Amino acid sequence: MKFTQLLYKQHIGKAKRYVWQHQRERKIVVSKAEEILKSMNFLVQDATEFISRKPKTEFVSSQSALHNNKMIENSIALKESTLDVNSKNYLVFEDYNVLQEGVPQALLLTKTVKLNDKLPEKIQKLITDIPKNINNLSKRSVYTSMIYDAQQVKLPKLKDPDRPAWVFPRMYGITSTRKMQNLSKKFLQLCESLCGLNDAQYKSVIHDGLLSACIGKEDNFLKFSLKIDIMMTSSIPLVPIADVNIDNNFDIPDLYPLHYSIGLSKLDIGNSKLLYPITMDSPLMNVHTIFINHNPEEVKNLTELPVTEDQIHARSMIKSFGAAASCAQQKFGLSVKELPEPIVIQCIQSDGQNFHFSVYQLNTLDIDGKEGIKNFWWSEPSIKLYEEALYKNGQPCLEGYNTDVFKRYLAFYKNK
Amino acid sequence: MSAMSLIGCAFARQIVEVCSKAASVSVQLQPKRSQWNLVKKPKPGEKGKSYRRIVHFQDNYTVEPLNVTNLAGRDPVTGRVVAKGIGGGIKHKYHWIQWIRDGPIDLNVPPKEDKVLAVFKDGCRTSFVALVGGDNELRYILATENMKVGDIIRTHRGIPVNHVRAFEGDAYPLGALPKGTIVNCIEKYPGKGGALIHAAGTCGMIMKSDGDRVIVKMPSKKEFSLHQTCMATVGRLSNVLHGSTPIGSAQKNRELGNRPRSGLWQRKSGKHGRKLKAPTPVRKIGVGESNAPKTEILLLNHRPLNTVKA
Repeated sequence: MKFTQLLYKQHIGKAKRYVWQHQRERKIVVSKAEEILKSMNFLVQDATEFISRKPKTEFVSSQSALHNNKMIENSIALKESTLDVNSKNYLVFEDYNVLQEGVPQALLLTKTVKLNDKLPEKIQKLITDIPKNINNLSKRSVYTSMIYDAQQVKLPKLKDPDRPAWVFPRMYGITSTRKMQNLSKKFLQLCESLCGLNDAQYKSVIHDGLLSACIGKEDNFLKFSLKIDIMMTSSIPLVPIADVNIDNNFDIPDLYPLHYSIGLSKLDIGNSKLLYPITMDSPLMNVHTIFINHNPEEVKNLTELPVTEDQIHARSMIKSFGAAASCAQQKFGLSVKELPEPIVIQCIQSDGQNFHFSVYQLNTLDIDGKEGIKNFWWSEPSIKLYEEALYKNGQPCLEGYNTDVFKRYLAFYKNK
Repeated sequence: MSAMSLIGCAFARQIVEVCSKAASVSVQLQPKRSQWNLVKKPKPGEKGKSYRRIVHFQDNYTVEPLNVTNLAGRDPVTGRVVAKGIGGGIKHKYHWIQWIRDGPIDLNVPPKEDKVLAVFKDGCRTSFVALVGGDNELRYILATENMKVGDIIRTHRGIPVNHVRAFEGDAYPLGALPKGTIVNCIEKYPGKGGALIHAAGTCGMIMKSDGDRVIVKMPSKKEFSLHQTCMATVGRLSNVLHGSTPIGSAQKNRELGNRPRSGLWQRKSGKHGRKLKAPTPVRKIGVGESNAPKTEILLLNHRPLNTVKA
């Protein structure tokens, strides 16, 4: 109701309130008292801060002690690494990280040269045609692990970038991790049966092993803390593929204006233990092949931009390097730089459909600069195992099956 | 026997709990719905707040996309609707732009070089965003019109005697750039980060210099006089077609987070032509602003006078 003289006469209460509501905010010009007092060297404190001050409590130390005694599964802690916290920067590459610049950055980071866009000749010779009955067996493994598996869980949400508001019906099925692990186990078993007891008795398989290696590079310390989904170890180490002092034309790439550590996160110095899944005195401690899973839901860029194929390949390389480095530190001691004998490691990375095969030869752990002995890496482009593997009209359907994948599995298994 | 006594004990406790609640008396009181309370609401647009979303910033700069809370036009303090016509839409993560372009000041040092690593569309703003990296740092900047992956952009804070030859995406102080240069993302106060000209396809132009100040024409045709050490990025901002692209459909407008309009507003016919106004005088930014006396608002809160009982 409009506030008129008449209303005022009738309702003095409303009038008071009206005045109050318009006058309750008072603008006050701040005086220069604080400045003047400060110029006379008086200590000026904010009154509200002074009141809300709390006495300090001393629970912090006991909390952090609890945190340190966390159990570690699937791995054996070597020793508490003696990281000198103040002198250097600590950078960490976690399991779900990818390198911003992909392969060139990985090569620079680990002082590695990529020798060829092919696997080494020794392994290429082992890739042979396989008879039809074995081909059928491998195809059956694909059916059982990709289609017949009984897992039914919620799959990741689908999004169409052109129609971002559209909500797809939620799909249930087999996760890519499950597919990859199923297939790797089945293929390994098939390889074991094909090669016989003579090969199999020297080999052992570890699931979900945790690795952690810490290596100094120039002004930084790099920590690789990785999970290896399946790790095949053997009592006989793989024979070095190329000569350490080989004179090659391949150069380590230059990333200017970027630094080799771009995109790596700073280490939280809470848990800095060095881990390796096998004890040193085990006869089966040499790494033979690592099978790693690329789960697109977990492995992401820091910026959440789509992960490129180059970055996935770089992840293979970093994982191989991490595994080889921690194996070398086990074998030759923590302070080893130039290895007495190179360590060779084979790596298969997969998301259930795409497979990336690579071989890494670790020659040195002295990764400063670009000169001197370098590490070697052989890698192939990714290959697809199949085009489609799903139920169509209620019938299992596998389209575009590629036999190359199993051939390479077998070659990697046979390699000594 | 013992079991019965246990059950009896448990029931008795439950009954006691139901009858006399553990909470204090003040919590149990229901707020009166017939009472009107005085609530002062802010106005949209003040201090650049649109009441569209809150971004949960971290302590240090990061390229990690940040989570947001959509406000739907509500003031987060009072919870009241402040801005009409906002609400719903697709939720986007926020890409934190590094507004400060830092580089060397010493003229003998070559400019700092950065590489453009990605250019992409951001849901929270109109122009495209570029991910750039230099040394061991990653950051986002606003992408200019022709910026593409692999470009090298330069930054220098020094003002040489002769003007620099600047290319698109480079950042220099206004004093170092020649007359007629097209610029965007200009700092209002030196060192505080780019504050002017952020919208897609917009650009300003350096008109003339005036002592230690430089006059820049804004996209609104107004002229601002800025200090010559204010940094500016060269070029026109990306997504030029944004301004001339119609939203297209009512549904698209909802996806953008806008609610339907009332339909009452009609555009004027413009039959009698445009009103001609004299251009506004050049506004000097950062001059005479600090001389105004500081004021503080004190609130007198007397509850009975801020409420109306029915």
